[in-house]
Amino acid sequence: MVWVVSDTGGAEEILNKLKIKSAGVPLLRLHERWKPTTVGLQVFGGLAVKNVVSLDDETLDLFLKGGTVRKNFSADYGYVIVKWKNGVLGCGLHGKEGLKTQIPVKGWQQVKVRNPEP
Amino acid sequence: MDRQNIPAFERYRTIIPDFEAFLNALNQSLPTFIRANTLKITVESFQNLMSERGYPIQPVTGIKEAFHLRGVDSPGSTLEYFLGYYHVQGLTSMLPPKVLNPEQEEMILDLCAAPGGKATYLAQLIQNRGAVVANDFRTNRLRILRSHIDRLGATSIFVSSYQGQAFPKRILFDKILLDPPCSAEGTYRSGFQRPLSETPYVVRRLSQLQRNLLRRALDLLRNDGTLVYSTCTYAPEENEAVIDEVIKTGQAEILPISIPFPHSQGLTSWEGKRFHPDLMKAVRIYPHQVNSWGFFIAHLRKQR
Repeated sequence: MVWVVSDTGGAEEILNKLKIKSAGVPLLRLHERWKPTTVGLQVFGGLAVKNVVSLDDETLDLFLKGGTVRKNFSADYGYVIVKWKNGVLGCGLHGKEGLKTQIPVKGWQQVKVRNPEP
Repeated sequence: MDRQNIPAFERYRTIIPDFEAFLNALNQSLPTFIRANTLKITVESFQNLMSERGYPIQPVTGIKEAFHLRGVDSPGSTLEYFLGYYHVQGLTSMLPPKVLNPEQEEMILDLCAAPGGKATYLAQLIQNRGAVVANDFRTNRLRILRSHIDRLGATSIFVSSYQGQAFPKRILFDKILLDPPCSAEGTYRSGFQRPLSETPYVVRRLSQLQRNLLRRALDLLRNDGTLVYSTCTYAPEENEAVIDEVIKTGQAEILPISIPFPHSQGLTSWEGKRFHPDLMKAVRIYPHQVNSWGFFIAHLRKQR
């Protein structure tokens, strides 16, 4: 795991003198190769200028439920950053079939995507 | 609902102003408050987004990030929550970090940090430009703390798991938040579990732990550094009596606190025991003053 932590004067002293369980947030995780974490993308993905796709409200539900969003996105095939209303949802896999979520199920299973009744 | 008789609270009849209103407030349901996470979204954009999504939120005068959220059964299960745009937090629980007033580039310690509402607020107040050590010995709660850090994008937080009273004295901090384990009387509302303080032994045991934690926290503070001590309980044994010891020995002085809500002063005596007169600078918040958790807050400065 690669973690990202704010670069401040005290960081080095803390890491050298204390037994630290974690510093900052996880940025990359090693499976077969390094992959960005959902947390890392949510923090830094907004800065990406390439391989980013944006969902509208209609496609959001389908994406969150794990379905394939069959739409032509102007992004290369492969892993992409998925945004919604300027915020980063996480990682998606963009291919000929469309866009599929790569966000771990446990991150989403609690989420209710529908608006509350007025 | 009939008002319940809470034996643990009867002893506070003489110190809680308008005690009947206090008892009545315990019958009210606890409102949901949320804190906009300005590490990820501006307060204005958050308001617009929540309004657009149909969530009825109402700003809280005095804390610009705080909102009252109505009509949402599971505020921790929305997409906006998952995206880290807000944190669900008791309104009065937002006050200790505000009182501590952390500044960028400072080294800050939250000695009993889990589940992390206050630690992540500290990171937010310094906009991740500084270092917040969030420590907690209760390892089962560290996972919750970590999940909040990730979700809220608090990159300035370092997590440690020392026993608070034995936190190593290798670093001096500019500011420390000490919100120790307490009997949590302030979280009581009718129909919920009775306060722990109904067992007097619990208060005595907690009071000793709190004294040990405060002594260690002062050891970890640089000279002139400041510390906020807070609990969500009314028991003077866990509040004024703990602070009184370090004021009388000259280890710390107590600073005035300004908060934007109705509140009461700290006590200067309890059950025949006199506390240092400066303890009136501490703050007690009751649920009939602010419809949230009851809280005690004291702001200290370490003496040279």
